[in-house]
Amino acid sequence: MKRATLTGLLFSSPFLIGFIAFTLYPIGASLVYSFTDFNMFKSPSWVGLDNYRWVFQEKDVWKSIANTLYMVLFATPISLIVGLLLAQMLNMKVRGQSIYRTLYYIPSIVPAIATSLVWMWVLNPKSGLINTALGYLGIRGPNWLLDPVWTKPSLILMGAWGAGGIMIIFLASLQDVPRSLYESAEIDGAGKVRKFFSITLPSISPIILFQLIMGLITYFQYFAQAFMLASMTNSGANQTMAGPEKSLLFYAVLLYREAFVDFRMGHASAMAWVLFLITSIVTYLIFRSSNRWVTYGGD
Amino acid sequence: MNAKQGRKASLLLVVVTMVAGLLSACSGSDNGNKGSASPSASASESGKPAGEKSKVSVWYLWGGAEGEALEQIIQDFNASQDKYTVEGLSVPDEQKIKVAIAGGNGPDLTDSFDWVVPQYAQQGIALPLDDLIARDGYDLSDFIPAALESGRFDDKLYSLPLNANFSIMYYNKKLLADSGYSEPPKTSKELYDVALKTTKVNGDGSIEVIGFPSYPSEGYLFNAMAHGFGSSYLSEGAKELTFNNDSTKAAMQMIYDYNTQFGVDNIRQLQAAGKWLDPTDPFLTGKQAIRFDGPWLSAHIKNMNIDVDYGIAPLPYLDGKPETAGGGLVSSSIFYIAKTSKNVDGAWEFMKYLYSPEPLAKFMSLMGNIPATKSAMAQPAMKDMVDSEQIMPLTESPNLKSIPHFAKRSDFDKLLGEELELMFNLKKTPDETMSVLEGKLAEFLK
Repeated sequence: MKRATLTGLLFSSPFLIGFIAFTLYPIGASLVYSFTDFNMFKSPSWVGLDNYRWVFQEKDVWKSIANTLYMVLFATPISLIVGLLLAQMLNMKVRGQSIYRTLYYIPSIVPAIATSLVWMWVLNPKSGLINTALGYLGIRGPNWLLDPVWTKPSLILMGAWGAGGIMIIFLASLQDVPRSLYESAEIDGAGKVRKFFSITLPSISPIILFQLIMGLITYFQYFAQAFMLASMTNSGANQTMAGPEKSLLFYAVLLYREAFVDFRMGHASAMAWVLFLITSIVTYLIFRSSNRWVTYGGD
Repeated sequence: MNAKQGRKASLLLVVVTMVAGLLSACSGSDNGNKGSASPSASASESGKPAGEKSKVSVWYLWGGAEGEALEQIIQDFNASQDKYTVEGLSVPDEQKIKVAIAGGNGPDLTDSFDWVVPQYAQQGIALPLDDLIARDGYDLSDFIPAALESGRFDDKLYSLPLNANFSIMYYNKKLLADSGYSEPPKTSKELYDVALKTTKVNGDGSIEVIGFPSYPSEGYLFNAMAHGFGSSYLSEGAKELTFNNDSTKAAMQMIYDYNTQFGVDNIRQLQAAGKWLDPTDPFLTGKQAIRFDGPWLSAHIKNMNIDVDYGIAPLPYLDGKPETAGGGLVSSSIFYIAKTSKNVDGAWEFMKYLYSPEPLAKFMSLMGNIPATKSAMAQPAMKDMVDSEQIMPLTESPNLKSIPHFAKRSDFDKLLGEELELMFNLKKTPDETMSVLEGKLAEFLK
């Protein structure tokens, strides 16, 4: 082996060892476990495709897929739109621009658990900020946390509040839109809206593609905030973690429950690989469609 | 090495690693044993010098004043002997405890509730105690038989019951008096009348004072109400489903009617407004007229110095069936030794101490629970328990029942909770819910 290659390998060995031990090896192991019945206390026993059959037949799995698709289809575009609009606004040359940018970014760095705790108080139907404010307008706010219809919108609200991360990346991409394009459009008499849809959007479309895929992957795996909401609105020793009428039973939450509450590792591993398949297919389809709507600079 | 060779090499590396992962998973290593074998081997190898105490770790779900009560017992135990040091840790998250036990670095002894026994026994989380009991000739006759049975599954004993708890009726004397009631309700019909009259509604429909025991949740009150009305869900030994009876139906109908009258939304709003057993708990702020809860409520009220004029009474019985008076569902908190415990002897020694009459009485009276041994119940310390003169007589009722164990208990409970929730939310009528439950619950008994 050439000396340069050896040196390279040595330098990257900490990462390689960690990657192999903590990522590749567990992935391989979970594939095997998905074909077994394993509860961590006894040896796994081979069951073939039973676990996969269970994934496609179990009612709770389909409910969790429906819940997850709800988030994927609604929360992804909403957080992207909110992030983009915020970025547009924060791109305007006003006094205190950097202060505003900081303020709008900070919510996204608050840890998910703290966010959930704070929002549980904000969404409290009797004394929370939102319903009290709605009360001043004469509107009786909904029961955000216990009404099965409103639990997911509560989560979307939390997500929109934390759209700072998305906003920052859009903000950066907005800086790269060539000034000359805007100027020539103004000469041709284009207004703000026209400029936005015809120049801004196509120019940042590669970033939109990136954010779209990242957003989809995030919401397919949605867990922390839902888990917090479901476990905190319980009393006594309720361990179903599903929220009111299973409205908070997301795919990743059900996976966690199968793995660590019910200790059915076979089921959980099968669920994980099915999710991997679904996410890969969706990502591939989006990449395929991107030829039609993404324009890379210099075209 | 050129680029093509480099790519081939890294691809080979990835494949080899994943195959290695596949193969080692295939070899079916018994992780549970691996986890406990090595540490206990090293413990005995390290050869503790004579006189040094061996450590016993006890994780418990309680916190606050209840956790401190257990810590007192732990301190007493540590002071009373030289062989073991018990270290207690409050871990309110049962998830965490289970996963730690599974990974081999959990506690030696921990607590839970009796309904987990079938699950923990089958999953191999709890250690059967029969060998230890036989070895030391431990006397089980002191335990209340129904409570002791709650630790038995598949002919092995997996846990010992700490207490025999059941919900009783707490009522707000002032709220009842304001609506013209000087006595708490005795029958189901009286209960509903009191609930209707004491519920105060605001102009916009929101509930100011709730007369029904809907807080903390209808799910929480359902088993108590049904059993108070005289219901029995299963026949002895869990052979048959006896869930469909007049008492259960009466309980379902009553909750359904109350929710229809006052609106699910309004009730949910009240339920979300406070935290159970917190100073914001509606009963503790004088906003709930009737409450079904365990005797720990008295201890909480006293510990937090809450000023509420309350009374205690047995759960109402089904109208027209006075022979079912004093009914209720008994369940127990349990202690069990973790399968992967590294100090089984130490855990067992502490268990024997904890369950002996004086420590158990001290612990239970501080927590406001009813102990599961006859000798502890007779201890003078029990008189220190808040409201013991009112609560202890209720334990003698012959109509107190418990749910027998069976393998799929947790699935049974889950389905029952889900279907009842639909009914509480008025998405299904009591009749529809009962026919669904009758069909599906019986499946879990097979």
